[in-house]
Amino acid sequence: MSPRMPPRLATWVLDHLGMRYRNESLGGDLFEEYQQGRNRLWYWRQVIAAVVARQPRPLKPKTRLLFLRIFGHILADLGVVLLFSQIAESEHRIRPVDYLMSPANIAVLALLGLTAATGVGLVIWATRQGSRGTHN
Amino acid sequence: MTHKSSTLYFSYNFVNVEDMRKREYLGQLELMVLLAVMRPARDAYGVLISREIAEKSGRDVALASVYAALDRLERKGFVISSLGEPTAERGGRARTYFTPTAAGLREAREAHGTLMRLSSGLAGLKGELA
Repeated sequence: MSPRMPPRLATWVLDHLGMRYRNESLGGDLFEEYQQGRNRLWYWRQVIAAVVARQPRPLKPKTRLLFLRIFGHILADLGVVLLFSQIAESEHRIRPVDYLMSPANIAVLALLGLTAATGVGLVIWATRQGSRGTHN
Repeated sequence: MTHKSSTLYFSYNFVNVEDMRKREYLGQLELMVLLAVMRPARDAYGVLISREIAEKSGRDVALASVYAALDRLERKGFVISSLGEPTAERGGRARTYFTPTAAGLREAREAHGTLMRLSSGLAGLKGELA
């Protein structure tokens, strides 16, 4: 007697997006249970649980630092560009100095400055951590 | 407390905190899975473990959650796994068998003992409260 075949698409999803740990055995267990009379909905639920339970591969420290540096650069660039565009915005106003010195504008400028400083700090920290790792 | 004894007291506490950091504690599902691995006379594998949990706890736990717990238990050194032969009744896929290690048995015993001690004499557990 030929076995009852579980949903093809669900099996494909399990094989390609399933757990990193013992996924083949998990697939075999699901197949075995399906032969015992479990229904398609049960099978799909189990596959979705396997996809959800899939743990992301941990990043290597070097890669993590590289991502932090890129993120830091983006943050710093964004902060600086928005800061200057905010200052340039005052030129279009009738009273540029009043606009620049308004509490709301000062708060925005301070926030953008802080963003840029955080980005720069992140880049410096990640670079130092990276070079420390190379020396050790 | 003298200066010397207070230093000793501080060091003792510090060591305790360090022990807590090094020690691997079991989650509820991990403990259930570990106990289920210990249950069969031989060769516990995913389906058996999940059926054992469903039977004894009344909870239908997803097989993926069982495998995730087994992964953590194996990384903590509480179980070891071995791959069987692929069979036709499993669609050509192999079983993974799990066996508790000595550390796993010790951990299960300690967890069981702790739960027993903590729960002994609790009126709320016998429905005597309320």
